Amino acid sequence: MSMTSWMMAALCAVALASCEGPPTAVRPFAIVFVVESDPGVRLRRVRVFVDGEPAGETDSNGLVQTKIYGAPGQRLTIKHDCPDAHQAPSEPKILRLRKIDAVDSSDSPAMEITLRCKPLSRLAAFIVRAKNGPDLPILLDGEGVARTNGSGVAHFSVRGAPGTEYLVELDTRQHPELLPHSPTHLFALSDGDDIFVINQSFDVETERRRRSRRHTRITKIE
Amino acid sequence: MNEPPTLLIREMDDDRTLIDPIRLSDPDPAFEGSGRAVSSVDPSPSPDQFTEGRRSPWHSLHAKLSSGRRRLIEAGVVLALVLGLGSAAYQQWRTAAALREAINEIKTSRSAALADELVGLPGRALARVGTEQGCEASTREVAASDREELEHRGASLVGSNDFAGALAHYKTLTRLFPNETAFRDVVIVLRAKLRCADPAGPVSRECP
Repeated sequence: MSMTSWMMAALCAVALASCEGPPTAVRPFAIVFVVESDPGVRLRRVRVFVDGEPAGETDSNGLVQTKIYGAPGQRLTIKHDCPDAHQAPSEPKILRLRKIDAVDSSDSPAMEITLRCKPLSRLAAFIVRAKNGPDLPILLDGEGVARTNGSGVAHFSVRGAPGTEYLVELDTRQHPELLPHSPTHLFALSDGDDIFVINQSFDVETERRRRSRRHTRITKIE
Repeated sequence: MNEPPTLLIREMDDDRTLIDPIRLSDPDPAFEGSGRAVSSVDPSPSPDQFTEGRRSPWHSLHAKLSSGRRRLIEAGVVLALVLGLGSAAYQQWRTAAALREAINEIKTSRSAALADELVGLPGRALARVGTEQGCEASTREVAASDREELEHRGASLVGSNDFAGALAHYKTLTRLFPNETAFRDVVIVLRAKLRCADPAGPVSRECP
C-alpha cells in the first residue's frame, strides 16, 4: 500500500470516529416561560401553548414552569395569549430543545424563555418648568390640560400609541409681557412609558421697555 | 479743716496733671506713680478725681499691687470671662435643644395626623374630624400651601435625572394628593425606568 492510501484510510477512520451516534431517546426538558410587557414588568394569568398544547398559565410572578418531553434538536412552536390592551407578537416563537448540562449539579438547569406582550398604549408624563411663567395654561394639541402653579410648574399625563406626537404649548395670551409668546414643544412617544420635562424660560418685558419700543425713532434717509 | 481739698485742673494737657492748690506753694511737690499729685493732707482720692481722670486711680492701683497679685487678678478676670462665656454657651445649647425637641414633637404629631388621614379609613378619618377638627384643618392647609414647593422639588429631581429620589418624592405627592393622576402616572413611569417591578433588576434596590 502506498503512502497515499494509508493517509486516505486514516482520514476515513477519523471522519467515521467524529460522526455523531444515533439520536438519543425522548427526555424531559425543564422550561420556564416568562411573560413580560416591558423588560422587568411581568404579566400574570397569561396562557402559554407549546405546539398547540396548553403548557400552563403565568403565576403572580409572570412565570410558567413546565416540563416538555422531546428529543434534543426537536423544534417546538410557542404561542401565548396576551391580556387586554396588549399585543402578542404576530409570529410564534420557535424553540429548539437542547441538552444543557449544569456545571455544579447533575440535573439539567431549566431553560428560560421570555415572551412579550407589548402594550398597545404608552404613558407619557409631562412636567413643565416655566421660569417666570406662573399661572400659564398648558395646551396639549390645542386643548387645555393643566396650568402652571406659582412656581411655574405643571404636571399632566396622557396615554397614546407608540409613535404618537404631542404638541405642548405654554399659552401666554393672558400674559403678553412674557417673551417668547406662547412657545411650543413637540414630543414623540417612543415604545415605552416616558417622562418629558419641558424647561421654558420667559423674559418679562417691562412697561419701560415697551414704551421705549413704541417710541422708536424713525430716521428718514433721503 | 476737714473740708476735702479742692482739685483744680488748670489745663487738660497730655499728662493730665492734677494740681493741688494746697501743695502749690511747695517748691517740690511729691509725685508718685504716673504724674498724679499726692496730697499729704488726705491721701484718699475724691470721687471727682475718678470722674475727671480715670487713668490716675487705675494706675495708682496698678502701682500699689505687686506683680504677683496683679497676675492673680488678671487670671481671675480671665477665668471669670471664660466661665461666663461657657455658661452663656451652655444656656444657648440648652435652649436650642429644647427648641429642637419642640420642633420634632410638632413634626411627629403632623406626620401622625397625615398618616391617619392617608390610611383611608373613613371611620377613623371622621372620628378625627370630630375630635381634632382644628388640627386636621391646619394639616390640610399646610399640605395645600406646601404643594407648590413639593411640585417644584419633584420637577427639579426629575430634571436632574435623580429618578430614585424623584420616585420617593412623587410617592409622597401621590399620598398627599391621591386625586392627582399625573403624580400617580409619574410614579408608574419612574418605577418602569428603575425596573422596580423586576425583582432581579439591577437597580431594584433603589426603589423605595
